[in-house]
Amino acid sequence: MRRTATATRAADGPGSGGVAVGCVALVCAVAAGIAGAEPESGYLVIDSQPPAASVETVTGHRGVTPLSVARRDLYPNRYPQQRADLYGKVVIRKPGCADVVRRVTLDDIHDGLHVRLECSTPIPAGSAAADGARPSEVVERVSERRLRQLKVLQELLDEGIISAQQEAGIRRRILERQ
Amino acid sequence: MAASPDRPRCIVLIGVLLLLPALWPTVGQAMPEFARKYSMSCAACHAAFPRLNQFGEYFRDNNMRLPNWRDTTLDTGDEQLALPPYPPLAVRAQAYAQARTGKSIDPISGETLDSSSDFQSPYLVKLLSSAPLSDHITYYFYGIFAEKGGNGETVIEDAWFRHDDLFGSGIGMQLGQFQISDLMFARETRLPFQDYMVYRMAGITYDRGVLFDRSVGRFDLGLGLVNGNGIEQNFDINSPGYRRPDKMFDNNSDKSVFGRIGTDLGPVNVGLFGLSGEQKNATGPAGTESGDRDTDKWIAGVDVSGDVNGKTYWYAQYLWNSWQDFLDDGKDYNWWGGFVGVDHILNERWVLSALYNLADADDLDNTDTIYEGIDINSLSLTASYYFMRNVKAVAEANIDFLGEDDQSGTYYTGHLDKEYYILLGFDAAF
Repeated sequence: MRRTATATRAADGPGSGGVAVGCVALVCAVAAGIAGAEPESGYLVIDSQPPAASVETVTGHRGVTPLSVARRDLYPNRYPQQRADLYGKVVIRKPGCADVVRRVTLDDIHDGLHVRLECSTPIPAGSAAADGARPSEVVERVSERRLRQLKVLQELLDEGIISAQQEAGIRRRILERQ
Repeated sequence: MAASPDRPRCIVLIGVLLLLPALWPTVGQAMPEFARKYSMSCAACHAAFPRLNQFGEYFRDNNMRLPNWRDTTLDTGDEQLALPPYPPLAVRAQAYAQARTGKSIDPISGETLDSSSDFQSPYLVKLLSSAPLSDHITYYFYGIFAEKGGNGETVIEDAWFRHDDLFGSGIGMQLGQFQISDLMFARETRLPFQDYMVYRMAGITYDRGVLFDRSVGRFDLGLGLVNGNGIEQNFDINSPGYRRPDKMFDNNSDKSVFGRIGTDLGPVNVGLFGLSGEQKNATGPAGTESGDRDTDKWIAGVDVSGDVNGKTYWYAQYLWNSWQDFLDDGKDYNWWGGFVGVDHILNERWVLSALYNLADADDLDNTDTIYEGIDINSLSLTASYYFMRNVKAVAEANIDFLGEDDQSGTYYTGHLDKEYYILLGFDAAF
């Protein structure tokens, strides 16, 4: 640190030339970032029992289970005011079953959202309920669920919706889950 | 530190640092306090931290709570008690390295400090806290440790209670310390490092007072009263006797009155702002001292803002200022300023921002006072890279379009140097 006795405006310092070079570097960095940008990160994996239930968020109908929903479809930066009640929530519907409305938590995003619908109509043959199990026993075997989740994951990877790195992370979590 | 032949290497290093974020690993989730409390992603409220999205603005306007806030409190078995289960604290920290052309010049003696490169680390460390305390009352405060190099200092800036339905009238009331300018654009949630300069120059940042707000049809109304002397003064009350415990926070009985009326016109939010208050006149060498006269101060402004599909946010502010009798008694000093900005969210990783500040000292020009320095004409370009939702790298360049002033008169005032700068650093909240 140096205090001089005059107010001479020194010509040293970064100056406009140095700043211009910095601006160029800034632009290069941005360009590099754009070129290497990852697709939107963060998905909520949803499955239901029975499957093929429709899923709706504040941004509208997202598809049928099993599926994954982008985080920004749960938390869009802008949304119609008349749908504000659905912000951060998912509505899962299937004819003959009671609607399920769930506010999505960080745990759901981490672990996936697994919903069992309360249905009045008979569940198709082959399902656990149709095989005579009590409702509380209508729980998909963990291995089957893992298999289906991994299949969805592979589809997301194949379609380029998630990166290989993201896929590996989610796969690891699925396999480590008890 | 004086400049050296190493400068080109420094610039290369800066370039490398700028490129580093593009190589950084991906994916993560943020967990600041509201995210912890409600088990939501930071993305629920922020288009890109700290910029609020539509829901973030709703959350703020809804007394910073969700309808299920009571579920997040400790079950004490006492309906009259709503304690957070743990101290609701969060931290925001910033650290930068900067190269600049500006210097520190004593306006009276001309003594100069020149640091063309500078490590501003930490730039600040903030401790924030907020929680609902009842169905209608929320508190919020933050303290800053070592702000802008002031190590050993702790400054409390925002600190208030807010009741969102005073006597069932639908009127909200906030009592405490806050920024007057928050009625327009909150400086704390801007993306650029560069400030909204006209707010600082007009003296409408932090003050102590009360703010009432209410929505009436399509209009949002805000009306406030503040002491008008900032947040640093206090005075002994000693006329009643020796060592009385209370203090005066204001230095006079007059309060500044301000208000804003805002509405949406199609996709654009428009607001009109006005303030009437008093300030001490400026006196002494270069106008650096506060005088004894209370002088009138008027401000009128208009602000507009909007966004395009929640991807591109834009905003603009104009303020006209009249400082009556501020230097010479019997003379009015009018000046104006404003800013225009845009934030574009490229994707979940990158946000680009531009902020243009323009102000004209006008009647304060050629007064040989520090207020000549109100003149500004600069463009700040910012790239923010989000490692995580709550951790980002910031790179910013400031381009100065204003010509340099030659030193004239007795004192060293005005735009004596360009204010180019390049800044790199980190900004995190957790």
